[in-house]
Amino acid sequence: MMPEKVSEEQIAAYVDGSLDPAEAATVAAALAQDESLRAYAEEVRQASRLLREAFEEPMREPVSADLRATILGPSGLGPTGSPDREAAGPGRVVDLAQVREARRPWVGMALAASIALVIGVSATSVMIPGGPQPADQIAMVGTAPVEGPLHQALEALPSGRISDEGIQPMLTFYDGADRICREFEVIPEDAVELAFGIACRTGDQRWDVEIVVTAPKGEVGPDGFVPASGPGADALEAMLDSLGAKPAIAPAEEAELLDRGWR
Amino acid sequence: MYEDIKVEMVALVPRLRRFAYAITGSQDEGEDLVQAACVKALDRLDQFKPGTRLDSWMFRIVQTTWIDRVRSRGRRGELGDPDALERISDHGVGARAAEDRLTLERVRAAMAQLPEDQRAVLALVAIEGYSYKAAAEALETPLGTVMSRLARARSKLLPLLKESE
Repeated sequence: MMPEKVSEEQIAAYVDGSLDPAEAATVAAALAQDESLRAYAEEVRQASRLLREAFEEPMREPVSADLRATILGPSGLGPTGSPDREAAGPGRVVDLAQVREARRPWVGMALAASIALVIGVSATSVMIPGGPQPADQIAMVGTAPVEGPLHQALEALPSGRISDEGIQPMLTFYDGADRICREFEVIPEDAVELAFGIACRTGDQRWDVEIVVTAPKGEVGPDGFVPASGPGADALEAMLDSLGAKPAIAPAEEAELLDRGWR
Repeated sequence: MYEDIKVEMVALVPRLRRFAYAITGSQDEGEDLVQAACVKALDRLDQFKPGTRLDSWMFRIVQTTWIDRVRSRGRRGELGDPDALERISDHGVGARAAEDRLTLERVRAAMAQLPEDQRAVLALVAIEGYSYKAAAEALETPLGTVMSRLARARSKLLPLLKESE
């Protein structure tokens, strides 16, 4: 039985962290003296732990492209029909972060962490003979060398994963010619620049890099995005347009493609 | 306009879905509910007070949207299925992993037996780690009501979970 002074509600509130310090001290003292009170506190704790586990699954699932589009607007450039968008003409400055955020179907939330991971992990795990390789040398416009890290990463990694060289495929889409294309980022160790680009798979099972945009690494924001506006962003946006890029495909579809060797 | 809020809203989606799963008892229903709540929130972004918690505001919208649905569909009976617990109370089968799964199914079934308002409070406090005060603010409910709902929810839930051990 509960002693008069400490109720089950108080113990629960103590476990929930909702007591003021004085009351918490009273409960803590009572718990220290009474095993049955401790058992109740443990029951409450266990129930909360089970509840968290029982409803954990949606936390692991990507945000659907539909919902992302609902919230950010169809193009991710702002609400449809907003004055900014209507007024936007050639040569406008595109917020690359938003363009990419909208196109990214699911990497989304993990991105900030994963970019931090690129920088953190690559600092210890990259081993390129002769020292760090600048981002723009890993990714150059043209066909990626089959033996090179970019080809390997584009070929083998699902979006969101990062290779030892700091190459991270970001998303996969079909272009107007129904080629499979992937956006990727390269953030090598110690590099002052990072690169992001688009590569499309060719008929002979290679990846043609269509465009590479570099940006100073120091400009990576806390959310992992380069606060891009200006020529680089415009170029990437223009490239997406000229490719006739369709919305990014879902992770499941991408996984299937990957399994089939992108055919 | 509101681009920052929208980006934050996208980031909140997994937590909103977890909350929606906990109060609806169904992942599909939860997903649909979050979608509807986001549409609602986007319509009234001007009502969001900058400097306050977006997550609390969104949880509140998810909860009210759910209550509206429950009322209009009269779905209550479907949810608090008293047989659910009996049907899955078949113990002692399978490996440890299967037992864990069974336990979590029982937790979900036990949660589904609670009244709507208790489920929401419990989800915010036990799952989201909200303080009672923050939960009261999010649900626009007096602090005392939050505490009594929580006490009732636990007095029902704890014995059910104990049985499952």
